[in-house]
Amino acid sequence: MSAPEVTELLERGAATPSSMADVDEIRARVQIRRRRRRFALGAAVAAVVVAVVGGALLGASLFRDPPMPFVDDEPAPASSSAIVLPTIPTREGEGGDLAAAHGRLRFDPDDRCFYLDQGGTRTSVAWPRGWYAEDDPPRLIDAGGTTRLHVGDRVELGGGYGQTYEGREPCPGSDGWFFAWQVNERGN
Amino acid sequence: MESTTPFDDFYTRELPRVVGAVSLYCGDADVASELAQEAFVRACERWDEVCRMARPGAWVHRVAMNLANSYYRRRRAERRARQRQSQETDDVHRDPDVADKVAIRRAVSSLPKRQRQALIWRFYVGMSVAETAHQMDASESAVKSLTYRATDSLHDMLFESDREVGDVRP
Repeated sequence: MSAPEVTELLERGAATPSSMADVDEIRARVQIRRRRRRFALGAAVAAVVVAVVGGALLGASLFRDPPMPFVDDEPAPASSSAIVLPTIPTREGEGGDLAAAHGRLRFDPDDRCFYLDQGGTRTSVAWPRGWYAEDDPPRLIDAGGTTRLHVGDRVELGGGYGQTYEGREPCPGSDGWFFAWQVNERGN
Repeated sequence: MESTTPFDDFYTRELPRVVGAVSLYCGDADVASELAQEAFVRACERWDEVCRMARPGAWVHRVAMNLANSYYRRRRAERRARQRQSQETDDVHRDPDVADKVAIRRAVSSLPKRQRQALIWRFYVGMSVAETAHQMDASESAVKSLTYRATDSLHDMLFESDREVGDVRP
């Protein structure tokens, strides 16, 4: 076949546009597509922002001083000689074992606070939920009402260290806080 | 009287040729119309760039053929999936065009892909050998060879034997 014959053959076989979209419809499709792309871009940016902020919050929660301390909402039993004892929201034995602190329980009569004496280093302690203190003699009583520790007792605590405690000052001279959710008495 | 933009003119001028070329390439008028429209949507999206090209029409033809290739790749994959599930049904195609047109399209669309491209761009779209070679990323001698073999096969299929035209295979 010659080239003109081939062209003529192809012309005969080719489909002609019927009921084709007019140019306005083409433009409308372009607009819809651009809007979709803008929406997808916006959604992707929002997802990235959420991921970054979420990651930052998660990171902050993982690396901050454990656990979140605040004054226990369970009031200690009323007592005329009650000492305000810092406590944490976690009940005894419920938290994981992050860090340990060993030492002897001491009481500062001037500031009326208990602290852990770790070979000369003072550490203020926030005790498990429900614990409270009584004076005369100064002692610590657990959530079940059992006297657990007296001044001078050796004790092993499980929990975590922290630098701040809801704006409260640690016992004077102490080196930060220990938030205790495990308490093991070791006697005298 | 409505004013027309350069894109309007381009669309009106090129559309029939693009639909015809794709219909020969894939053998299906409806599919060709759909793919041609999609090619023009893409041209409209990038009109600032496309209008500066030496031959915007050639760009649209190439986009349309690429879309046809993608379309048939997807269809083949779907067909294989259906076969795996033993649920294949006869793929009955109803083409509103007359038998003569359909026979020619089916014959062209049964040629090997490169032969089809060379034949359509060279003899239907009217590109020169050099333009066709550029469009296909091939040498001019390769284009001449492809068009020669395509023409020969087409002649055999349409005029010299009663053998059945094979499946569409872009």
